[in-house]
Amino acid sequence: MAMGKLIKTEIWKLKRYSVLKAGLAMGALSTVLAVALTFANDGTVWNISLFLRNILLANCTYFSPIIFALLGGNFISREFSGDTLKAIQTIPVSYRKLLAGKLVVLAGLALLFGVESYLLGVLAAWLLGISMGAGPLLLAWALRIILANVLVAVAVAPIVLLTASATSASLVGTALAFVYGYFGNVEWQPLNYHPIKAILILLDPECGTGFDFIHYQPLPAALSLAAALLITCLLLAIKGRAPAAPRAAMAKNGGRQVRAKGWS
Amino acid sequence: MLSLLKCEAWKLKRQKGIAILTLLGLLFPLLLSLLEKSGFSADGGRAAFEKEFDYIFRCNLVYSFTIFLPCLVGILAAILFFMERDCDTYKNLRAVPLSARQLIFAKIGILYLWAVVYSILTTLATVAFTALLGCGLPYNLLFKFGISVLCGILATTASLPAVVFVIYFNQTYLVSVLLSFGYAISNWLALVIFRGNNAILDWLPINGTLNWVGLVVINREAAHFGTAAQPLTPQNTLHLVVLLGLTFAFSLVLIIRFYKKWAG
Repeated sequence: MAMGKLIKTEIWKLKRYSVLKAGLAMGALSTVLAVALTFANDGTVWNISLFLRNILLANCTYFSPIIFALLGGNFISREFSGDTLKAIQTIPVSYRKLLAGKLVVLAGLALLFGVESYLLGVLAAWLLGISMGAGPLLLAWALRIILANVLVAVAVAPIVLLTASATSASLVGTALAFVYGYFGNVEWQPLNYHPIKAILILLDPECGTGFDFIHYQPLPAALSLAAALLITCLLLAIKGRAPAAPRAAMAKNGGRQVRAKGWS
Repeated sequence: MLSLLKCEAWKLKRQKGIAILTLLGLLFPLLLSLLEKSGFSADGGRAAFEKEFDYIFRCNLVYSFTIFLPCLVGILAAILFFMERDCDTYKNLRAVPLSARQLIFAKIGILYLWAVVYSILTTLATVAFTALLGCGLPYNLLFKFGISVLCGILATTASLPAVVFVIYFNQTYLVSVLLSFGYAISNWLALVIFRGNNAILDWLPINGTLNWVGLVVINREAAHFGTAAQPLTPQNTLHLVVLLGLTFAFSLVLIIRFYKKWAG
């Protein structure tokens, strides 16, 4: 089955789940957070760059890692919980290809949520009376927010692949993604190699400024993101076959798969 | 009730994810100790080392208890309360006979027991990492473990509204877990927006808990080092008791109502 068709069927499946609505609602939270911060009585003079920067930070360090880990985990674990994997495998589609299709759709959703964040951010800034700035500035922030979201999906992909074979495992992956993203808030030189911090180093012009003991470099940041992508590819390469049966059921029967008796 | 708690704990043995979730409590102590180590100067004698440990301990109370614990409580509640639905075992439990209310109390009891284990583990990690990395001198450990366990119990009570979200949106893990993360992040957000305005922060369950625990810890440290600190008054304690008492009562009423609605 061609990858294009696989992606199309994954998009069809999205319609049946509440994933898109939940993701869109959560994607709006970064704007809510940015708006809320403008009410903090700390003497900040707001402009569009400062406002959209808060959206970028909130997306990268709070919301996007959680949303993508949860959505990615949900896409994959639903094939197990809904018992649809065996039907898909008869088409035949390899498990590796299926997972790759799901990750591509996840990246597409990341792009969509990025666009949503940016548009809501600009709308909120306009309603709050924040000065808008020139067109190239707005375009630059649009690219930053959207690209950052896609890169967060890349950075989170290894967690999704490692934890998505069962619902409870994908929930653990979500918690892990929360900590993983939260570490991006910390200013510390070794975090130059942390993929989420790397996104901020590459896309946030203010990242690490104001600290004389921190000098982030773009090259190690880019390499850490490339490493996340490489790990994703390696994980896909070793996931040639889907897990055959739940381990608990296998263990009860001396490692053999449990078969139903009679005609049922 | 003791037998019910035991049964719920047995069920958790099958959920490997919960052990991993608990182990995630090691991450913030590790990060904090590494961060402190990087900017650490070994001058100042014993008192300076003890103050470094106090700083890491206090930071861990903020990160591991008031930011991360509410997220984990939401995930754990999703696993605990959806277990019967997913495995279709609720009807068997009703045949025991067991009322929905008894089951809810047992599950909430497990949440608190888990919080105690998590609190001990994360404090143990703080002590161990600080000692191993030599970035502080652990002392007064009985008090530190005691206040951590108390903080874990109080933060779990403050996180019960997240459990209400989990049960209300019981159709899907996605919305439930996203909302419980949203609850944790919104408390953190309130801390940023209303910084310094304790009249508001003290009425938010998680922030109120953090403020009270912070006062207890700072007073203890002040007594140890012979310095001055804002005194902890009986009114502070009464305020927290009322706040968390109301949170517990309202959350429990809503949990019972929504769970019974699902159970039919």
